[in-house]
Amino acid sequence: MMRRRDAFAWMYSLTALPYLAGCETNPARKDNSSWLIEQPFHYPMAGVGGGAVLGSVEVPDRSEAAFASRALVMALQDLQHSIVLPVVGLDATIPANTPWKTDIVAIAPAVIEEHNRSSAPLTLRGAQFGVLYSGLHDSRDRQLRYRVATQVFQRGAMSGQWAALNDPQYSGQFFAERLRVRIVERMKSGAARG
Amino acid sequence: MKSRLAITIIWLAGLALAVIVVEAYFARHTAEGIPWLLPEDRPPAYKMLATIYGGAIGAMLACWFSKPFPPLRQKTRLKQIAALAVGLTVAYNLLLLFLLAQGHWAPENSLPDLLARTRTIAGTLAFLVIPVNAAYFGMKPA
Repeated sequence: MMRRRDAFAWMYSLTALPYLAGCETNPARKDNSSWLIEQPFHYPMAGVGGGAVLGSVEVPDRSEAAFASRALVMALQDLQHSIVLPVVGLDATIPANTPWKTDIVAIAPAVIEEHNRSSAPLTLRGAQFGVLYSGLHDSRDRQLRYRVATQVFQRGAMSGQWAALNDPQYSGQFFAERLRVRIVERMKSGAARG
Repeated sequence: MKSRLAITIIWLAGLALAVIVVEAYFARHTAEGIPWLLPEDRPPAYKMLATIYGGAIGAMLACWFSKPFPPLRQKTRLKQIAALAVGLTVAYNLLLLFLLAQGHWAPENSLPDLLARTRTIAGTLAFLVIPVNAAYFGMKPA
């Protein structure tokens, strides 16, 4: 027979499990896992002989922080976003481990359709929708890491301002994935090397 | 007395029509089925309408009860002032309705911008109606 204290410990651990696993707690602000991207990197001339280092991206010597930031900024620009926080200089470098946030950009109807198709039963309907990304990146331990949160907003065609969508009616993962694909593209294409 | 009632009705009808014009935006949709406005847009829209009409209607209703100005002796002048007050009030209210309804044929305007523009123009042209309305309503009966 389980003692009362043990039973309480079991119940507590079961309740805490979703939080420890990084599950969604606030549907309005969808944090997509702890790190959305974890990409190993290496400096030039690394590897065995002339062979490339598999599964790793090449980063100019000692410039992984700038590389990580450039890949992020370029990926966001591909999606028409600009960074509103922190204020980015002409070199477009966001310091590592600094929370960043973009502006809200209207989502194209084709993307909304794709979201509704791929994320059913979550559907976005009856308004114009916009998305805002926020997150953090890091380049320690030979890994380029990105954490991304998405928030979807809605407005009417004549509304002046966006209103945060509070109902859990959209998939944050879908929008985070769009950004993830572009960051990885930018890292692998070498465009972020500067 | 009849003219006072007429002006009061013009103002209140103007406000009611303004509410209808604004509410009509909420009922409309784009060709893609997107509503022009969402329910979240209602409170700021009504707040702006209250700013546009509140001052004039509030002052007018207050003057129904307190009459700070001395009465006019000549009846003909009183009639002239009444005609002027009615005419200017009608013109002013029609102008406000025209400004508020502009979004119906030019939906590229956002409603907050439209309301802000209407408020600015209403404030700028208030000199046409506020003094004559205040004087007319604020006069003690002869």
